Amino acid sequence: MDRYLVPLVMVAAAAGCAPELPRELAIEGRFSDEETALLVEAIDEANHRLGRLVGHPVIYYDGRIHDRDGFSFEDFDDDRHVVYVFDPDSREYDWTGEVAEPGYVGYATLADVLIEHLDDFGGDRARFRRVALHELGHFLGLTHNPDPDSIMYSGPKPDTLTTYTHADLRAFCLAHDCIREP
Amino acid sequence: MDRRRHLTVAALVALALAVTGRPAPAAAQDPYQGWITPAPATTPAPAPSPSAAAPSAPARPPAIDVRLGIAGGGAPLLGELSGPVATTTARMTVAALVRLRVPRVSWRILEVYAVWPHGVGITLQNEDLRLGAVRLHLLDVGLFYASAAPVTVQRLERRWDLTLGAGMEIDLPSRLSLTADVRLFAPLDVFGVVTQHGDAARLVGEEIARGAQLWTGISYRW
Repeated sequence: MDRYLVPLVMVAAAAGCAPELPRELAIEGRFSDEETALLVEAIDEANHRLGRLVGHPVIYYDGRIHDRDGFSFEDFDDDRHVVYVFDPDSREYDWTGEVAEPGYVGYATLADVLIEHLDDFGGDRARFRRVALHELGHFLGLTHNPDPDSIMYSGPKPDTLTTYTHADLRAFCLAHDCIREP
Repeated sequence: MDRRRHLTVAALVALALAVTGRPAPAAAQDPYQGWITPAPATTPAPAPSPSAAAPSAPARPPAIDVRLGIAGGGAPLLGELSGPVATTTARMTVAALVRLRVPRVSWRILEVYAVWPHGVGITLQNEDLRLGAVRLHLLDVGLFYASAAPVTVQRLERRWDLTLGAGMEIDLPSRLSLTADVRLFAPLDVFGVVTQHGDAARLVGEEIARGAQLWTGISYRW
């Protein structure tokens, strides 16, 4: 399988799919202190698990920013990468649900990351953190993984899952220049 | 002796032209006829007589055909997008263009143009179809450098666009031509737009398509 996947990923990486590491990422000020701490924890986890593969951090936390208007699609175009609040009352949320899949709790591109408030997860801190790890994976250039036990699986994930799995690490090393085996 | 040799050569040339079916165009006939465009099959072959030899050679098209024109228009299809993003595409634009042909060598047309107040571009066009005075170029591909601002989706900051388009020219008497062109301006880094925007790249595509510029104008040819 890797015989086909590796060249494909290499071509995609050469075309600009895999971003250059490390990347800077700020957090929107509308997140509470508790939510911000969870997001920074997720960034630390990405640096710990993925950073050791490439020999340096993969994400630098770039502080909190205050965007008065909240997120809009135009924010994808600025040069600053931010974790924004994914507001279920926003038109962006409605539109994304229409064109992609309803019921999203997070969304990410190479430009920005969107995550709902912790309250929208029913206060489930572990699930909030899992979603943050998943979206950070997208921000680092990972796509969905068919392995249902993987953080990058598109569907619901096991409650016991707390970090990137071997399948995620292997996918990461297909897109980036790893100096260690996953 | 010399006179007889000349007559013989002229007769042979006339005979060769008659065999290849190339017509002797009248003065008002399309100068390209028989060179780039195929000659009509119904044209009778001239008789291979010495008197018919001299006017039987087809008029050579000009070595270089240069057209200088001006066109104006806008994006008539531009409306509200299906998603929560405002359009940032020019609704009205004016373009000055120079089209260069080398008709003895190629069907292709090289166009250099400027769109006020956005930037300059270069386009390679193929003269795909000719119906009398009407010329159609159906797949125009080019690059546009947005020195001031992009024509479409200005919210994406960029300098280079890929352009796709089609157009028509109608030759009028007295060296004038009417022109009509439609042109799409898409970010050259299409892959980057998709990875940066994810699903929202659809809105960029929608705006590019709806923001196609439709220009009509007039040009003068040398």
